[in-house]
Amino acid sequence: MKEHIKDNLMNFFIIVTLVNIVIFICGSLFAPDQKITYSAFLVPILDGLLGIIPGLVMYSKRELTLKQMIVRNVIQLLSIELIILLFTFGASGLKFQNLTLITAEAVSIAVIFVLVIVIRFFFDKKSAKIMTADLKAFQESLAAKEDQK
Amino acid sequence: MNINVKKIGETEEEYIEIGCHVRDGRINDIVRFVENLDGNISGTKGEKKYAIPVTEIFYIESVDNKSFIYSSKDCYETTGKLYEFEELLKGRNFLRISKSVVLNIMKVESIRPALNGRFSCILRNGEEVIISRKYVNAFKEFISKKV
Repeated sequence: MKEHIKDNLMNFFIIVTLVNIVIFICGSLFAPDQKITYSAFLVPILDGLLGIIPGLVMYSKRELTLKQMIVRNVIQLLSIELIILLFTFGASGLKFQNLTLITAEAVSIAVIFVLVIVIRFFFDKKSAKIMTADLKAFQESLAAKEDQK
Repeated sequence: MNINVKKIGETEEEYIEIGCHVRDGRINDIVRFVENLDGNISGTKGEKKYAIPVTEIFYIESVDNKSFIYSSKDCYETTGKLYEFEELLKGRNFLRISKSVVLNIMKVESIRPALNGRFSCILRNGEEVIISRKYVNAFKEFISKKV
């Protein structure tokens, strides 16, 4: 459980950073003259919080297989899409007229979701490299001790 | 149960003899304990019984309440429970890496990330075993303390 909360906390900070970047890129491209208020700074934080809810709820003590994990990630992505789209547009705002905006937001959510997984993978890759180096050092020191005997 | 310890001459080979009415689970536990202390774990393959040197074990896995010992090429069934092996082999660089696997870290060639915060250990014989998320921190700590 502790690891699960830590994982989600890390995801939260990654999401907040990525949402900031997405707002900057999309804003610069599509609405460069748009004036924003201080409340806009809350958007990434709220998106981050909403984005980790499905992950927090879908906690499983069981070790999942690769297939189960993929299914779980798809369900998680769809839940996040639904939660954030409802939060942004409201139930009444999800109309055909807003299709371009809805699609743009949905794509952004999917991109951020994938990026979180990729970034976590690179963090893990770094950890794995350190673990392998430590392990090698330990195995060599033990082998040297054995040789001395 | 009476315990007799007899000193023997330097030239004689050391031995342990157990006198029992029936060879039951209790006696088997004692035999297994002594064998483990001696650096071997007993396992069966087919009808044959083997004494597997601890240094040759890659990992021990528990499947459906049965434990299996994996060496470089062979797999042996054993009567011991996984938690017993975890306890017995603690001082011999064996570590629990998931609910069902105790791994000999001396047989690990490299570690790489698997999906969802898990890690995969590539063993010297090319096999892969997964370190589950729950055990990752303990694994990291264990290795960093050893260096």
